[in-house]
Amino acid sequence: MIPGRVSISGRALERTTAAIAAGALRVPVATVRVALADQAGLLGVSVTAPVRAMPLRSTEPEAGILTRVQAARRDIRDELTEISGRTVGRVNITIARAEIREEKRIR
Amino acid sequence: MTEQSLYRRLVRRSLHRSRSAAVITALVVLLLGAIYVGIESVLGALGNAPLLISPADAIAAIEKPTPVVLVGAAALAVLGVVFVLLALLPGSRGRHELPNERLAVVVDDGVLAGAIGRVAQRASGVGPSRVSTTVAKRRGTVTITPTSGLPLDKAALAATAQEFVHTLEPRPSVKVGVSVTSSGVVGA
Repeated sequence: MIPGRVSISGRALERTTAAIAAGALRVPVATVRVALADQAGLLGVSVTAPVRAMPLRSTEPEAGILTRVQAARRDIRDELTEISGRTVGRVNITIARAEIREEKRIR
Repeated sequence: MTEQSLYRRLVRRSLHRSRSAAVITALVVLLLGAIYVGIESVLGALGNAPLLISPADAIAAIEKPTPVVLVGAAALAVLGVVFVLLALLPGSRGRHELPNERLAVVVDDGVLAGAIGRVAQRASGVGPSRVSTTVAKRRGTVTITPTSGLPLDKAALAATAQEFVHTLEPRPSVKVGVSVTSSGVVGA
């Protein structure tokens, strides 16, 4: 064992979490806000991000927003634990707004 | 042999406070009191005016105590308790002896705490600033603030620290406990 230790700064953890959340929610990283806090020794994650939604008139089938956000919470927890080695406690996601993807006309 | 006994004495002197100051104070107070009582008794026997209070008046005051006499008695009782405690308590100076074949080695508890704390900190993987250690006579306590999401094995850390203490063999022996604070810190 080599003497010394590895530490990860809070900033780095936050950026990592933001990238993971952006991937899980399929939104740009710049739109994702992350706050990390201690929860009785576990790593608590709070994410504020927009969520992608199809226009209401869309006929394309799509899983419900809440279903997708729940899945994103699990993805964030699992990936963050895998990358940082930290045991994640609560994962809170606040949906800030909907990012409507206009359907493009097929030419 | 004589060197050994000399070292034993020196170590004992380093580990415990001397009682000489308390003894000197107690004896001087007792001596002055006895001299005063003697003077008053002689003056009273010869029928001269008392310095402060004649023996007869003093006895009367004790039999029918005024508030002033009661307060004085209470003060004397407190003083007595203080001296009894000074006489009975070990008068530890916050130091431990480390066994050594050739030398008499005495370390301050703070030094011992620093050494134990460093061992625990290395084992825990957190930064030095997140570990604090105190050592009392028979008990050492290491307090560690964990990193959020990286749980610490309290028992393993305590075992590691205790093992280190066993290699030092401080006297009196020290039992190490590790406590991990309930809330951690996110960043390093």
